[in-house]
Amino acid sequence: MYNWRKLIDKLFTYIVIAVSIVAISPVIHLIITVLLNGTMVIVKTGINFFISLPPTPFSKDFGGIAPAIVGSLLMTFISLPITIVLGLFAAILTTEFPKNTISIVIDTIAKSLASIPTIAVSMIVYTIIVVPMKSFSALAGSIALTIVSLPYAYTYFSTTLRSVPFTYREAAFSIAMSRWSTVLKILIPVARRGIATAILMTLARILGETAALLFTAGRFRNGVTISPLAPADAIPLLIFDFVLSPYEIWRQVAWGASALLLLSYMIIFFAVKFLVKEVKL
Amino acid sequence: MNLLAVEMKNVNVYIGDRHILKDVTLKIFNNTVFVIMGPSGSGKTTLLRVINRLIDLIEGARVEGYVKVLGFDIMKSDPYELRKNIGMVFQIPNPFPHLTIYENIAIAARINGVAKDKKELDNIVRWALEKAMLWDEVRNRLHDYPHQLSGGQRQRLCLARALAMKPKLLLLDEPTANIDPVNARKLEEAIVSLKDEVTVIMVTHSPYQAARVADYVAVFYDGKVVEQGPAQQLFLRPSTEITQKLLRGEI
Amino acid sequence: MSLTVTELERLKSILIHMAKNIENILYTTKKLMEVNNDSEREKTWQEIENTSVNLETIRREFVNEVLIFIARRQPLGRELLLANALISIAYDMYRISRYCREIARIDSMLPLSSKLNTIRNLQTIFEEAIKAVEASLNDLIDFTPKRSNIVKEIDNNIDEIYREIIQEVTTNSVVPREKAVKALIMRHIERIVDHAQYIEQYLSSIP
Repeated sequence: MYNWRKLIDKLFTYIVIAVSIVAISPVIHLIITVLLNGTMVIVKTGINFFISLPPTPFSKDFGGIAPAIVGSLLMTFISLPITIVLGLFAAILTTEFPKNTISIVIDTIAKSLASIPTIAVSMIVYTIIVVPMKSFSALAGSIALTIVSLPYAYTYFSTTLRSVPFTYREAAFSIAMSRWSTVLKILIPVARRGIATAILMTLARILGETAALLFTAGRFRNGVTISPLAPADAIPLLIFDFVLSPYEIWRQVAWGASALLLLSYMIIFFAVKFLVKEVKL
Repeated sequence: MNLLAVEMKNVNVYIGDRHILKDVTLKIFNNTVFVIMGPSGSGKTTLLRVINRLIDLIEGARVEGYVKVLGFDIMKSDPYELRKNIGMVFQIPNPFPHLTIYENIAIAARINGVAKDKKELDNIVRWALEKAMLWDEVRNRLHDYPHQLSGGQRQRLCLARALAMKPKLLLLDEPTANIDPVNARKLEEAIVSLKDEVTVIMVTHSPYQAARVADYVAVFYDGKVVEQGPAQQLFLRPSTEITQKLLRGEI
Repeated sequence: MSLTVTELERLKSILIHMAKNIENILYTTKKLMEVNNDSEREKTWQEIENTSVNLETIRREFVNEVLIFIARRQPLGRELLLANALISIAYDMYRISRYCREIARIDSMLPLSSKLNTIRNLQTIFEEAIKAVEASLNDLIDFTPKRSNIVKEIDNNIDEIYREIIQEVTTNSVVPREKAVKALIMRHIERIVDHAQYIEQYLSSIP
């Protein structure tokens, strides 16, 4: 009887391990495929991958994705801070005053914004910004990205702040700290791991967002622009276009771009893990 | 000037629909250890949080009646100013986890302007830790974090933090409830030794702890004050059946 | 019924058992004052001696048990006062038995012709004392001081008699042996009734 139970125990352990491997393997496969194919391209091109313009359909040289990199960076630099600041403030507001009407409104808006399809957001921004401006622009792209990522940023921050045990807030008040002092000196520092993760998640979302940029950024690949009012390119857009194209060279460049994106994620991820110290409760 | 640290008259407290404190009238004298004793759920914790207005943090809380703390009508006072004179130690030790031992105490001292430069701050940190009977154990590790301390040490750290404000009133909410007996004893000794400098109000559900520590006792049951008076009298000749049952450990 | 209360009831019952012994020893001592038979006297002294020694042992063990009860149950309030009363009453009872022993000793040292039964009124006085102790012991059984008036009255009377005899002994330069012995015995009787009074007082101290 004893051995029978042990057997079942082992059996279940193996089943769980097997299922887990099945679940993870697509992700691992994806990472490996992208890295393998992409890094080959990057290595072949060297530094030019980062500073050259994309190749013409029939050239033999891979060229580079400089416009896409610059465009992505530009739009991230514009939309990420705005999203973080707005999201964090909103999260602080709803955590501090949960029963206030404004807080309830914010909460509701966040939930509904999250359910709008990103392509619809793209179309809305097209109508409101691109048409009056009479051109695509990095600005329009940034606005679309902000709208899309704001609800998620708010939710991440909100969850993190709420997960700080109530007792620390009580302790802070008991030593006569003001409400905002408590938020700045206690709440946020204790939640720093979670906040860093939230920022990272938002960054990941912004970097990888494609549909929101479809009708807003402009796909300008013939040169590198730094003006936010001019049309721009973005890495995901480039991947989207080049993968669907009939030209082999473009498809290769798309692999390279994907690998670049993936590598960036991994670097940022591990940086956060090591740089932001966990607060042990 | 004023002999009374806390005075309450006909205080009723509601949280939402629930009537937590019912017509409470109390007098707490300066420089004594006043123990509030009673079974769980009798309203003792709520009472403490009324005194330093931490009850403001609780949704739907309503306080009616006259409450005078350190000479001030608390409803008409600025809660932050009030709290600068009241230190509190909670049931579950809650030192700030992201600050070192030194910083945990320093933050309390700095906020209340008690220390002006580094030297004064060092002195206060040492004084607070000595009063909390923790100095000898942490003198060489002031820059360690609270998670490296044992539960009993953490609680004494919280006591030190509360004392760093040099408060006139110290509120303790079942401070030894989650501590081992040896540390609990140390904490009790520290509490009794503080009598000269602060007025101590402690909540406990153990009549034995109350017997060890109290000068005055108020017995709480179902949100009402059942009996209050000098500890000696209450522990030898209680005048109500509820107190007697409490002392016997039946409720 | 909590453990504390059951324990206390058990301790009380031990005390009441001691009380029965006290009653016996008092009646035995009384025999010395009424009986004339010499052979009986020896036996009586021995009986009193043995009972007294036993009571001392019982008392010591009893106090130990009460102390253990206090350490274990940590009583407060009424139960604490009760525990104190039990220890004190046990001592009072033991003292009563000691005085009986002293009286027996005096009797054993007297010449055959002048034993206690020859002293005037001694038996009646001792019977009063026994009444007082019985009242207090009954109050112990009922655990309420309702007969304290009786004890107080007898205490006053005995005190009066004691004072008279001391007066007689101290004012004369020569005192006949009977009077001297009576004075000695009276002292013991007066203490016996005092201890009965103490028992009443302890019973009154418990709310």
